[in-house]
Amino acid sequence: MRILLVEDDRQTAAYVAKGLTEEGHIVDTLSDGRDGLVQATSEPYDLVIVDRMLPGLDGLSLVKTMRGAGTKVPILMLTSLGGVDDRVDGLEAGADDYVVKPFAFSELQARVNALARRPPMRAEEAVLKAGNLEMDLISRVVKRGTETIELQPREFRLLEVLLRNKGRIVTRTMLLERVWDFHFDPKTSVVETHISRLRAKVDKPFDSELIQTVRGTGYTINEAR
Amino acid sequence: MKLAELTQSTAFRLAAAFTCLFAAAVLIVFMVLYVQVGRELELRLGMRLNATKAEFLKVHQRDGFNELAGLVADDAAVAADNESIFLLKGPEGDYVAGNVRGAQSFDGVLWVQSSELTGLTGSVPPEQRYLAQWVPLPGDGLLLVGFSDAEIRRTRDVLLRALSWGLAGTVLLALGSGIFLGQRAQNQIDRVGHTLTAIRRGELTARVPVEGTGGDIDVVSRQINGTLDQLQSLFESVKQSSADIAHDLKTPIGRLRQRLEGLQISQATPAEAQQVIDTAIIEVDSIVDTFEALLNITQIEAGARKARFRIVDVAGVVASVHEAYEAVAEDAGMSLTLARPGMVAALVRGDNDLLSQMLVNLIENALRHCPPGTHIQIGVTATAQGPQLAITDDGPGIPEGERENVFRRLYRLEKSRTTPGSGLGLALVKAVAELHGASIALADNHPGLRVIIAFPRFAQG
Repeated sequence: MRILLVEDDRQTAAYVAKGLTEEGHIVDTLSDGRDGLVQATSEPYDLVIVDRMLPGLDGLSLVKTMRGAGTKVPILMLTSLGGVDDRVDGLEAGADDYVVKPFAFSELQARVNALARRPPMRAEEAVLKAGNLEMDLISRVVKRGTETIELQPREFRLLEVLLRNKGRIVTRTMLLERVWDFHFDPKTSVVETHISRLRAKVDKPFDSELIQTVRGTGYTINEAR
Repeated sequence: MKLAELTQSTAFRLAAAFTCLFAAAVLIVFMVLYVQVGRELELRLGMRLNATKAEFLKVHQRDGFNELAGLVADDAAVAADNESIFLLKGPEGDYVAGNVRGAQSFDGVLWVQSSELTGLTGSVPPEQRYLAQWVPLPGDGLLLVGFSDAEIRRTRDVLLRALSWGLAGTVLLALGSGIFLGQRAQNQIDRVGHTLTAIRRGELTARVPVEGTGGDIDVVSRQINGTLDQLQSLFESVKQSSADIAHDLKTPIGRLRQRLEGLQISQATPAEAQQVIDTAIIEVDSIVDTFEALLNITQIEAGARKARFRIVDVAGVVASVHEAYEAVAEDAGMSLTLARPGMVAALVRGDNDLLSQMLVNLIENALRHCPPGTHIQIGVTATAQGPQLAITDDGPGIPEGERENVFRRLYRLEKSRTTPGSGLGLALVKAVAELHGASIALADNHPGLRVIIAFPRFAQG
């Protein structure tokens, strides 16, 4: 897909562009906020990645202006270290997600994939599936085959996030944000603990494992092979 | 203090203004008094003149001219001090009796200068005047009767003297107290100035002396000292944390460098190299974490987050953090339970994210430092002062002497130097608590640690 990257730090821009190109994306890189705005509103992109601090026009104003102009393209913001308020500012301005610098490329990649393939304006699905696993979001019943699986509310939410991103990697940070609403990095293994509990209920009693660990990055749920 | 400085001081200027005001008031009072008294005395003199004139006319009418002449002569003899003047002239205008030999003739009651009178015996001040009148005696000549203004002048003199002394006294008193007060205030201000100069030179411990009289300058001095205390502690904390940061980051950066250098000079297999790189990335991430935590604490302490405060239910935060950590504690061989009263809503004005992080840090702290089998309990109770968040454990606790220190950045108890942790978790807890106006207390749980965070009572609106 076509991605516009607006980032003034050459090294970061080159690193991100290289990584995304290797992933098979087409990446246009700009370093000035004003140029970025012109480009983003005149060309059809699938995703725009904007740095918070930019010359010409800062990232926040760029996003606000884009949204004000009615551009619906998904926006991922790159924010600097220690910007406690940057996340809220970015999301309020209209960004869809954010990554804090310095980031692992896998983190950025996971978020890019989660954003870009988000089905636009599709009605909420009522049933999420992976292999023979079924999650009914309305009756809140989880079944694997014919067997009903009892889940705690957080385990249900954890499985839901994984299923909504089926086939894509969900990072530990993304899970912390989306399952527990923790926007900080706990020093203990909250995610690992709950994934292991979830696996004990969803995977262990069955012959195939649906939840896969992506080493050093996060987790993914796939169709049973 | 120089006189020029004194006259420029506020207190002195105020005193000078008051001096002028008082002097003007005194002057007005005296002027009114002076004029009124003078008028009154003149009036009395006129009445006396009329009475005397009538008396003489009566004598003349009843007893004849000669009798009158005798009376005038007697009166003139008595009036040796020239308080009053008499001149009786015969029908031909010749001198008959009196202490005055001659005077111009005039009509009605007039003031006559003593110099216009002839034949006055004894010393008469030249400025003395007489209120006098020529009284025609039917068929027998003229009689001049007059009374001097000596009494009026004397009274006026007394009044003027009293005014001068009064005025001088007022001015002296006002000026004196002005100078005294001005000098005192100036001295106090100078002391404040000296203190600030000392601070500017780097003597951060200098403080403005407080007199204890409770005056305005004392109040200001106390405020200045309070500010200086705050600044000093901030400055020292900044100094301390810069040193701590430098020290704490130098070690892992040094380690990182050694690893990379080791990889550079070795003939490592790709698999070995991969392992070194993985470790290096973990090391960098941990350095970044430390930076992130430090920056977060700094930002929280700066207070800008207050702008985002919403109404938050602390009990809700406790419940969701409990949900996240119950299993984590279980896996660590401990237990994390909710205290029953934790279920009541406990509203505070705050930041949900930060409160969650604060509670998480406290729980993780307990998880990290307590042995398996430890029981950790979290709960919220509503008190009259406001909601209280309590985290208790029956682990090893913190020695009493160390309880204040653990909130310092990068501080770790000696025994926990070897356990992981940046030493920033509790510093962040303290920063978040302070941002919310909450007090934080560490106490002995017999055994274990009890952390109590007391929030201020939620005020509607």
